[in-house]
Amino acid sequence: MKVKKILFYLLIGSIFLYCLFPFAWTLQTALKPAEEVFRLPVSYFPETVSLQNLGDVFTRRPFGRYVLNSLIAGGAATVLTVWAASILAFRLRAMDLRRAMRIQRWFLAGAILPPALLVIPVFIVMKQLALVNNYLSLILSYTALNLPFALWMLHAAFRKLPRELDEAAVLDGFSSSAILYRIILPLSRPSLAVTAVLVFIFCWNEFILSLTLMPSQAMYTVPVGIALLSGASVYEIPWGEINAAVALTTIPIILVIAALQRWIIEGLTSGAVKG
Amino acid sequence: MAEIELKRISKGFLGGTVAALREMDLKIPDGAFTAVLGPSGCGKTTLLRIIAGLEQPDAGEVLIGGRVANHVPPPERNVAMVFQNYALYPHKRVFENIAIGLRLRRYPKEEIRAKVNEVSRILRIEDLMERYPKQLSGGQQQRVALARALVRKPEVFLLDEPLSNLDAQVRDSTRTELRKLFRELNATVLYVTHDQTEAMMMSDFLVVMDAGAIRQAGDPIHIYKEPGHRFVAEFIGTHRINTVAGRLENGRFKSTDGAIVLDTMIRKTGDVLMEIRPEHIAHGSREDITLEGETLLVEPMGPTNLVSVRVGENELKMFLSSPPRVGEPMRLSFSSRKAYFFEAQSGLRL
Amino acid sequence: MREPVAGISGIRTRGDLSMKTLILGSIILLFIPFLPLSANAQQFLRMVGPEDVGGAWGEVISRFHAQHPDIKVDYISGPWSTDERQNMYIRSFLGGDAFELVYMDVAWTAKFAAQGWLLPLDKWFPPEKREAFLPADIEAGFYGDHFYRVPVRTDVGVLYYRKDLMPYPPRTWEEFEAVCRQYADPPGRYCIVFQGMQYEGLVCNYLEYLWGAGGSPLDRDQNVLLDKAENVSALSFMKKVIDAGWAPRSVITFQEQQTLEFFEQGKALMMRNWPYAWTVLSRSPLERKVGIVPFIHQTGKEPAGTLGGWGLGMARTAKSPEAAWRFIEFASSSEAQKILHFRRGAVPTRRSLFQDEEILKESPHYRDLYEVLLKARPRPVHAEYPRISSILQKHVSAVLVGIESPRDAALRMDQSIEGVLKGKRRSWPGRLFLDYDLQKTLLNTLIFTAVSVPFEFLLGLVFALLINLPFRGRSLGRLAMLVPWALPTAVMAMAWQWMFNNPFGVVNDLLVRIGLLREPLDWLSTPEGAMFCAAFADVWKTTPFVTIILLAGLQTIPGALRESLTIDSAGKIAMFFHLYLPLLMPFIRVAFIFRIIHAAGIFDLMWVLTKGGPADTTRTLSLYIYDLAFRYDEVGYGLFLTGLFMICLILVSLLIVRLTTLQYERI
Ligand SMILES: Nc1ncnc2c1ncn2[C@@H]1O[C@H](COP(=O)(O)OP(=O)(O)OP(=O)(O)O)[C@@H](O)[C@H]1O
Ligand SMILES: [Mg+2]
Repeated sequence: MKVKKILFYLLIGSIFLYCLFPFAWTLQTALKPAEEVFRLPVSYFPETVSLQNLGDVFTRRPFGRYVLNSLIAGGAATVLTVWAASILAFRLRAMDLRRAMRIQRWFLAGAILPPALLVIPVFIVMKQLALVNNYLSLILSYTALNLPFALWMLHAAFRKLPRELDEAAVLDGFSSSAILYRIILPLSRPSLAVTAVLVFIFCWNEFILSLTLMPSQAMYTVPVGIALLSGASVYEIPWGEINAAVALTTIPIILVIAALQRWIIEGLTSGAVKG
Repeated sequence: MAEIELKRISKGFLGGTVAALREMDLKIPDGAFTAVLGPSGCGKTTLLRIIAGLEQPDAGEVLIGGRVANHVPPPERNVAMVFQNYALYPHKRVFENIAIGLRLRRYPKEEIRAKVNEVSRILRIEDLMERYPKQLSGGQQQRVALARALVRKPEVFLLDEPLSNLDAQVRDSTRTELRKLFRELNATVLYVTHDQTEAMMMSDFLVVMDAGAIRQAGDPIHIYKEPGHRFVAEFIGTHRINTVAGRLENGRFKSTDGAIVLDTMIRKTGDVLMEIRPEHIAHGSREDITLEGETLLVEPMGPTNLVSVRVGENELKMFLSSPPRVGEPMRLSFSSRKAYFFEAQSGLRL
Repeated sequence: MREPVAGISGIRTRGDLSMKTLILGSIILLFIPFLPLSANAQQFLRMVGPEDVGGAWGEVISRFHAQHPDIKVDYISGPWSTDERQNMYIRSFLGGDAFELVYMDVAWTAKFAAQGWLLPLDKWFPPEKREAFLPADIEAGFYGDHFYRVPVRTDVGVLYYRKDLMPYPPRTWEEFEAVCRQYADPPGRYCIVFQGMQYEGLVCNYLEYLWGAGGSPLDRDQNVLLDKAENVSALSFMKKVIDAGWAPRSVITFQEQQTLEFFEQGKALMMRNWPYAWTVLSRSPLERKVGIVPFIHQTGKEPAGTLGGWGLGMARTAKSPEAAWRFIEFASSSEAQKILHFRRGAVPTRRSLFQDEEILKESPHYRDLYEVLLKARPRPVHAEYPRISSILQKHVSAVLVGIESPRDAALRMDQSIEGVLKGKRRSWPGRLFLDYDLQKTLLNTLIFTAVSVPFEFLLGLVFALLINLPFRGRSLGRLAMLVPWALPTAVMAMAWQWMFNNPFGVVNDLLVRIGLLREPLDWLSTPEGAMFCAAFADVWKTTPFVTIILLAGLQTIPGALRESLTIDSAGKIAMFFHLYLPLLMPFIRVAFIFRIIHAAGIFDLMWVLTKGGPADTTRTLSLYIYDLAFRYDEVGYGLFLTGLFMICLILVSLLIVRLTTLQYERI
């Protein structure tokens, strides 16, 4: 019994390590001073902790600019996505479940395509609209890309609210949009938050569209900036700075995920139960 | 086939904050059709699960057939359980649902087929063998669940409210069927229900539970006639028993308002409750204790009526086929031997 | 209070209203263009070059600013990799906001000009001005009848050798072999280092062997000549150089920089590189120990060096061509070229500078170099050059890595280039069968999917079953699960690249410490290693997704079913097959389809982690289609392939649905 338990925890522990190790390694590399990064044998704990790399990313590279770009594109897309999705989800909630589910499935079927297959048509359209190198191109395509997911989450959340609520509100003279904005949305605040956070993370992480739609360096988002920070060879790549940038990009995500993990799991799994 | 005995069983949930069973002692005679009766949340399901081995008691011993079974894993206890909502495997056809227990015990194919066919004939579900649970009605599902339990011929059957999901009519017919079936099998059956009519009608042995403890166990008629505890008296019976608070002094009971006074054989002094069933109160002065009162309410119940009468500050209910009008004065009487007295504090029968 | 009826009818109209706002809002948003953040002042010019290490361009630009205060030139530091900078330019042309000044390699000119992205410079740069420049450089500035690129610095492949270690430099392949046998002593001292990584530089190296063997990729009429014996012997010789241990195996990861560092450390007798290396070497301990000669050739054939070099052109869309010309003129002037020479070691393109006292004082070798330069040969001038080059890169790399034999490689090069040149003239469906890249990348995609998806499922299932158990610290476990899922793939690909680094990566270090490896492996530069890394990183990244879906599925299985089966004496394994697997099937199916589609469409991870290399062994279909659209400018064909790909994925999904839908789900 004891042995079994120890084995079990060893197993869980190794899963834990497996999941977190790459991040932890990045962090420890980021905190090493430049000389220690390229020293053999590899040191597992930085001998001296240095914030040099973290600072360099901002002073020697336009990392701040990339962050700003990501925040603008991701933030606007998130707001737009959640807004559009809540209106659509509200509509779906008014339908009977079977029909709503059918519509939702179509949305999701569209979302299952990998962005690599969408990038060419999206680029052509954005070029026609003269939106290349413009935040709007990312905002619009991110919204379209994440709408199905947001709809799925919010629809599941809205369905949980009893229908009597709206009926009572109608009797009290609320209009339909007032029901949405004054009753449904405030009551679904946790789900809205989780949806918004996840959509923002997806936007923050997106690569191929941003690589294509924002070709000028001043418009790079964080992932593109980091990926292009490399030279193509082994010795001249500023690994210290790259790791610093990676760490800076991922830490906020991990913090947010940690803060919201219970709701995230709940939201993701409860949506799945219905779908 | 097997006698079940529980010795000082305790079980708590949520780190002991919820006590589902408290030091429970119980001995179920071999081959008895036992009904376990109690209000929702009193620990009935927990009791079954502990006997089945799905739950480990925090303290105490479970004996099956005279052997301590605490550490015997469920499959080896030779029990079968029918779950509250049947727990049929949605992905298996009816035949497979019934056969799975035998399959996992590696019975030969021929034998499985023969056994499944036999039970399905008994339960009259031969025609449903190729269906999936989703394609069955509630009553059919319930019979499949029973068949699954029966096919293994276990020593003990544990049935957790098997009829609660059925509508009244199907429930009545299945109830009699079940009773017949198990009487023929002569197996030890624990039958959980919170419907007391069902419990009274079906069982040879009745266990009344409340808040994780057994209030009374024994012959159902005896329990009805001689409730050992205030809870039992109030819980058992088609209609709620009349309760009058008062005081007992030198064998004489006097209600708190002084309106009801009677002599008893009980030599004890203290606050008590007198309880009398509505069916034991008669119109007029036929019995030894006669009271005057005023009609408060008449509730028609088909062939008879439930009449509430105010006597002093107490309200007594009784059955009358030809009721008086509301407000009319009423004379009623009952036999002092039919009245039960319980200690006000502990609820124990005096 | 309002009448209920009014309230209900209110719902109708207002409901439509919120729908309308949604549609209207999106339309408005579409048409209010955000102000682009990059300012577009009248006289604003941008150019992209590598990081301005010696500050040479900074100086050129500041002198130019001093003369022309009304013009502002912005030097954008692009990546070191030439290919990457070319892609930056191409994306900027395609995106409609082109960098005004096109600082381009000789090899780009034809393509850019053919696409109509460049403005011809004939007006400003008449023949009499051209005479001041080296003839090969001028020739390389033409496409068709127009002139597009003013040479700023020139380059030619040369052979450096250690004067102090060997008596004479080899001229032929035989002499080279003899020298290597006699003087080289690997691994302490190799015979030669060159640029063997899969990139444009590899083509430059390879062409020198090919020309040296008397071969050539295309003839004057653009017929492909690569299936000839010359090509096979050139490739065989290159392979021999590595297999015999004359060059270190790691040259397959080398670009110019590493080659130079290796040579500088005294670890090789000879080095193939560009003239800029001279400047670096003359400031190193090797000063005066190094000589320059033309590259080796087969006995009886002519030596040749690949013409390289950079020049400036201007985008057709440049708003103020006059200003741009002003800068081009200045940057190609003697003054600017001297700055670039002194600060950066750039070889000038003006003939006169080869007699310049100051320059000759610092670089006496220019006298010899001038002669080599006069014999420099340009790479094929063809609008499809980038594709030709990438095919050459891939197969030469494949030979060096040992994936292809020289003979196969020669044939495939020939076929693929034929395929590209002919395919351009064919209909798209007809092209499918000529398209060697398509077949190869499709195969890679299938391999990648077949390796990673099963592992993701196996692990995902195990994780889900474990994490679904009640245990202390469960929420910590779930958090850990979420982390890989939530982190950006492209960014973490960099982290993986670092972890698989040789020799500084932690993976190598751990494996060596445990004793599984005797010495660090160069994971990302062997085909199996790179595929393994990609699959490993992908499994790490996406297993949590599978886990989350399966976890959701597990939560739909009623506990009573499990308990009922327990009483029926099911063990853990029977429980899994009789209960979990069939009931999880709908969830498994969804996750499976999702994973198959996304693994087949993998882009981010590959693009960052391996770039499709080495030798295209990890180049997947998405990378190829992306290149078609954004590097080879074949948007139409790219879209066609995208469509086919999409249809295939849909068919595969439908097939999966059919095959995995159990009987009970159909009712
Ligand atoms: N897994 C559990 N975790 C926490 N509390 C539990 C759990 N199972 C039962 N309980 C609590 O234990 C008590 C007894 O539960 P039990 O299910 O045995 O009641 P019951 O008599 O079967 O009720 P019902 O008639 O409603 O089925 C209840 O208070 C219940 O809330
Ligand atoms: Mg229960």
